[in-house]
Amino acid sequence: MDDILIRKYVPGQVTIRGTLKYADRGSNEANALGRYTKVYLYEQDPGETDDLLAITTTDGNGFFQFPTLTNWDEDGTDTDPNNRRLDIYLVFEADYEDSTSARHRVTDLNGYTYVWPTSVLNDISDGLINLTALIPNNFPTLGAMWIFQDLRRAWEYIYNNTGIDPGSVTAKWQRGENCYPSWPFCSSFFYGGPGEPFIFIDDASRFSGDTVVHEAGHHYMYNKTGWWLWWDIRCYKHSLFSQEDVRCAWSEGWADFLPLVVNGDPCYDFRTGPCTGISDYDYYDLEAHSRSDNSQLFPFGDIVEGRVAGALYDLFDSTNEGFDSASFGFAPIANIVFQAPNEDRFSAFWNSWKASGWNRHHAVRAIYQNTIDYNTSPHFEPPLPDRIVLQGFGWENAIDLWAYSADDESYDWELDWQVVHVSDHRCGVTIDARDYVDIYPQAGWLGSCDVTIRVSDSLKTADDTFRVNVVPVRARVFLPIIMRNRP
Amino acid sequence: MKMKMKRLWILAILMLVLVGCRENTAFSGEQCNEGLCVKIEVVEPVRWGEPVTLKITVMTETAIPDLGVSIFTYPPDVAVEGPTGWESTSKEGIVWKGGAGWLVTTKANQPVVFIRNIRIPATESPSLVEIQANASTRQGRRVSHSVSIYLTREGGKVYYAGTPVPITPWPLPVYIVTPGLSPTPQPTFTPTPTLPPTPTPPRSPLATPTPLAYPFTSPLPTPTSYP
Repeated sequence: MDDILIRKYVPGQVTIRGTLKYADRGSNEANALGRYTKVYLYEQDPGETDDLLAITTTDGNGFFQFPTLTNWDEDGTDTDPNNRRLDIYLVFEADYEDSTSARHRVTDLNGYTYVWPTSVLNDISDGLINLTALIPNNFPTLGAMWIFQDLRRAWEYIYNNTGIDPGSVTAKWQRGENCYPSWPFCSSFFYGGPGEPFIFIDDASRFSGDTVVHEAGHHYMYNKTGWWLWWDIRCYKHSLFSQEDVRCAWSEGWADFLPLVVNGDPCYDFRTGPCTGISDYDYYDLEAHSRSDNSQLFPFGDIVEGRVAGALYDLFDSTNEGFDSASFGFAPIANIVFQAPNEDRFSAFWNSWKASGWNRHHAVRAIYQNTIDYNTSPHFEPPLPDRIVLQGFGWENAIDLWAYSADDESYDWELDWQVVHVSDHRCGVTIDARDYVDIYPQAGWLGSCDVTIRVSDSLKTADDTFRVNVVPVRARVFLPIIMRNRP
Repeated sequence: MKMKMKRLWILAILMLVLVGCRENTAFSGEQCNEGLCVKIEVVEPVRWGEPVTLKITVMTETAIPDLGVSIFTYPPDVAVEGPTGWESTSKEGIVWKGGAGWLVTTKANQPVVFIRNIRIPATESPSLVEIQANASTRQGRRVSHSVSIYLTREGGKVYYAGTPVPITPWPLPVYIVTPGLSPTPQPTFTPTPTLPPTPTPPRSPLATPTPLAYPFTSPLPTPTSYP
């Protein structure tokens, strides 16, 4: 009997990992990472149903790694074991659960989530397989990845800066579709009616990350407050500097503001940006618009969404110009927007801001810079008192101006005073560095004068007048000095 | 009676003349929004390595003193020639990487035409360039119209809005990265137009389609739109 040689093939192990990249809106394919994207690992079985081997997600750097697998095609029939190794491909999906209560995804108009399958790698080697997958700039569904990344960036910004989970967003977009089927108009929008809420991104706007985040901003506001301004027909034709109802201007102003902070520049861009194209047509620089604008072209007040957005941006940013001296960051704003009470207009936001304990003086100035005047005038309360000074004497700290002044938005140390009129300069009235009125009449002078003092909160002023009477010394009382004998 | 007939004839002729005038001012294939229309066309043939000429037409229902007109390309590595040499009707013209813009004063229902030359980088691999023309008012009314050019060494094919570019999504290229070496494409790919021109987004074999809630209930919700 001949010896029979029996060989046993022992399959190896394989670990598949890699990075997802895509061409961004600048056509940059090198550094745009497919962050937080679902990844499926399939084993191709021609003629049969492909096997799903594992599911994972990419991380913040677009990196993914599957558990180590046995490199063996169970369904293969080839007698050569070298041809029975895995034939794999990946499928990336525009779907990610940001948290236990938040998920963002991008679908076509039929509700199918976008997926990107890769080419197949046949009979992969054992060991570590390091892959890079790329969605190139001429890929028909590349826009879905742009929108998908916009949504994650928006969610992440809010969550990282406030600790608030703004919830889920589903975006619908399809190449070539600028109009949503059966919808009465053609543009991007947020829908919060019966069924699942979603945002629609018209195809022409897929280049505008600001538009995607704008619509997501509506969705987040709806998620947290249940508020959706669907009944205001006029709001449908809104634009950044149109005059609207205060509720429309608030809803849209918030949604105009969010992309500025999420995408990191003060321009609202209708294209990729930042701040690219014709100013005030292709983009609006909301930091540059101010009280200096021509109000015929760019209306003023809290019925203009661009003014609301500009005010929120000046509350947020640390670049101060004009009356803007505020640098509060994002959290104080978002906390008010996302938490009860649910504001329906910018003035209600202002009331909530005042109640929140955050500084009002700088806040009202930032708002004023954007043509919205919520500032009240300072006032003297009680009225400044008259003063009597003896001839030949002075009175240091004759009036404590902090004790006689008040303002709804400013603390005493945020007010400023000046003597605007003295009926007789011989009165010698001045205001010192500590905001006291000092009275040092001219030597030997007798008489009276009226002194007008102006208090300013830097935006508005109020005047009050008091009288100084310099009177002669009528009598003197001499007191004996009693000195103790020293031992 | 004879007088009345004569008047009717005059009226009929006048109406024909007015209709004729209207037809002269209209143009087709444009995108319109709230009385604002824009259309972008590519002068064919398009040849590889040569400038491409664009014809942008705008028309407004009412006269607009400062209508903004701009073009943007994707990818943005396309150069727009100008603003020197543009029509005298183009005011405050500027160009930037992948685009150009200018202002124009329009008269009611009178089309204004602009000619712009662009230079698409001549690459060995086929390239797809999308050009979007926008018309917008300072008050924020906007309208866009786009065209795509699929350019190979053999020349360019033009696809207008509403005519999908006949590129079926192909599998994504995936590269095996070998430490110390440049990534090796596995396999190489070439985007190839395939007919019939039906772009079929890959359907997820995994996700369950989520049907929309149709029909919407009354009253019709009016969503907040763009800006």
